[in-house]
Amino acid sequence: MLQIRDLSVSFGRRRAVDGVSFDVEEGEFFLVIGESGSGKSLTGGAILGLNPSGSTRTGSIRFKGREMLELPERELRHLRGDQIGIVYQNPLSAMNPVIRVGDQIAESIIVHGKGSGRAAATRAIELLERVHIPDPARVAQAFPHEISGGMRQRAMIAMALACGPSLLIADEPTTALDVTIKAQILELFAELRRERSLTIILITHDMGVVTQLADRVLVMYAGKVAEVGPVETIMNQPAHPYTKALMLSGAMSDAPFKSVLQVIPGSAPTLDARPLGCRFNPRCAYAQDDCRATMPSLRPIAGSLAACHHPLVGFRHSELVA
Amino acid sequence: MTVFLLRRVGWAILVLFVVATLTFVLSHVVPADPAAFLAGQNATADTVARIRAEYGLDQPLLIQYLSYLRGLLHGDFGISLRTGRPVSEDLASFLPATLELLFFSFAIYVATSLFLAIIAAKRPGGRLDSGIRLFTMLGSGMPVFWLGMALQFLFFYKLGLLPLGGRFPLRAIAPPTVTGFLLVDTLLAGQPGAFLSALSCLILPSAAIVLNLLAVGTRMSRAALISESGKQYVRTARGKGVGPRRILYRHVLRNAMTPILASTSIQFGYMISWVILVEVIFDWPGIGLYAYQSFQVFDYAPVVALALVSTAVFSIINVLLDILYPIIDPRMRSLRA
Repeated sequence: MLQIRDLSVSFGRRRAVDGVSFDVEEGEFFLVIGESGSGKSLTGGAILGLNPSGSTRTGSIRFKGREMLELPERELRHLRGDQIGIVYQNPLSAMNPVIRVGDQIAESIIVHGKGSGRAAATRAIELLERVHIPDPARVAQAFPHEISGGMRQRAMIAMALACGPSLLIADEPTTALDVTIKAQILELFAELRRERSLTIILITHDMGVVTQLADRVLVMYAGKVAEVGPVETIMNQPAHPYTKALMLSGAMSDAPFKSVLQVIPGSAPTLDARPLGCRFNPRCAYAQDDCRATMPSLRPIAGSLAACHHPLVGFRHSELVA
Repeated sequence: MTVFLLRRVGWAILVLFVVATLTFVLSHVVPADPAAFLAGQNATADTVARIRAEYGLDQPLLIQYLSYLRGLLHGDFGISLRTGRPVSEDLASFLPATLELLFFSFAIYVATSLFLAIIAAKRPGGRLDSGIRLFTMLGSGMPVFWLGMALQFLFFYKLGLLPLGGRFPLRAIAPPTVTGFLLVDTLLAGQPGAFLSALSCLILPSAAIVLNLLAVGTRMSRAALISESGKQYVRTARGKGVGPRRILYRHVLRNAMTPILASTSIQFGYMISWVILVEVIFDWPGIGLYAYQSFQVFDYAPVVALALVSTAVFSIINVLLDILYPIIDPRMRSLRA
């Protein structure tokens, strides 16, 4: 469904996303994980051509066979909200404060010519019901500040689903929510995927409970793909030391309290201060001379693809936790 | 809503009272004797005393103040020494001209500053943005009276396109008075020619007022539009596939209206002062010119009336604008209490 090849997003000469490639299959629940500044949100935005002004995209993004980087803005606009829906974090600022919730959902239907006025308003209420909002008619009449954070995020999802897209991109949809609401929203994603055969790309820095839901995971570090593979492999046999470190830091673990929480030393490099060679090498416990000299490229290692000169072999996460 | 409104109106009344008191004090500390002036140069002391008694000018200040306040409550602004008529009657005949100039200028100001701001905000720092900044700064850099005279020089003396001053050509037939606004009355009377003459008289005085205020208005609106364009809801709207035009009018402009409204209310106050000044330059028969001519002969009642009427107009417009806030931004409906 989606093939991304050598995608870069640059600000001037600085590449925030640097040669990222991956595929997303039809009906897949695909997870993109990385620390802030890893380029994961820029990658998500690049698919829709929604990058901040001053940035340029190179490479290739093919969605259902069409090259997105060559589509004119007008045609991209027809795809946005119609075939590809997007959900942002922090719905209080991501929703327009002066427009009623129902009208914001209906707008999607109206601009894509799928119904006008009353029909769109009725559809908006159905969509709110679909995302399990109680009393949807009342919520449709409310302004964003009048409903709770969890309801707002549900309404955002309803907005993204309004025209029945086949791909949903969710950019940190649970960041501003507390744990129980977070679990409910994730459950909603899983349900939508089951019932609508929706393809979902979930971008997050915090996996928490998500691992059971996802099919495959892409780990990003400093604008590059560190590792990509099926969720079980990533969880149980991470090949890249960064993936392992992420898990040990608790970000990816199902049972973080059993193990000692380990902090990854140092911090992710900024755009201007990226090291030579492997970008993770200054923080990597396994780094050797070649790691500091040449950049590793993605290669198959035990069930996943990892960009590492010295991948971990035989590492079992379960052993470590036990 | 009602509580909010009542509080606003209460404040407006308090402001009016303070202004009434201030103008009374100011008009009585001026070291001139209106009674002596009215009696003429060759009047005897007896005549002056009689006039003084007749107008109550021999009473203690406090008594004068109280009777002045009582008069105001009944819409009585006293008698103009210059015209010999009650000030309220004079106001009734001069106020429509002032309000017409004020509202016409206000409408042009709001439309122009918003229009220029929308163009400028499209590409901040671009050529159009810089051009608009230069143009509006030039207008604000010149004092209103100078700007007025420069416009007269150019459009009347050099180009002969527009009248020098006045409100209506002397030889033209005035329409029957319905609203007192010539633009409206000429149309009601079905006289398009007279409408155009009235309009041609309005252009230069309005231009002088608007050009002077445009820089601030445009900058404020431009800043509001740019700041709103960077908000996350704009990104959401783009993600829904909403086009740039709809984003501007449906999303950005509606959110930008709150700060724009705030600056507009303040600008309205300046506009009232400029109208009064411009009336004198363009010989516009409104309350500004009336008060100015009265002031020159130590006739204070019209000056006091001018201060009160312009304060009242300013307060009324501000209360009306205040009502608009919660209509524009639903978050403000729950905030105030």
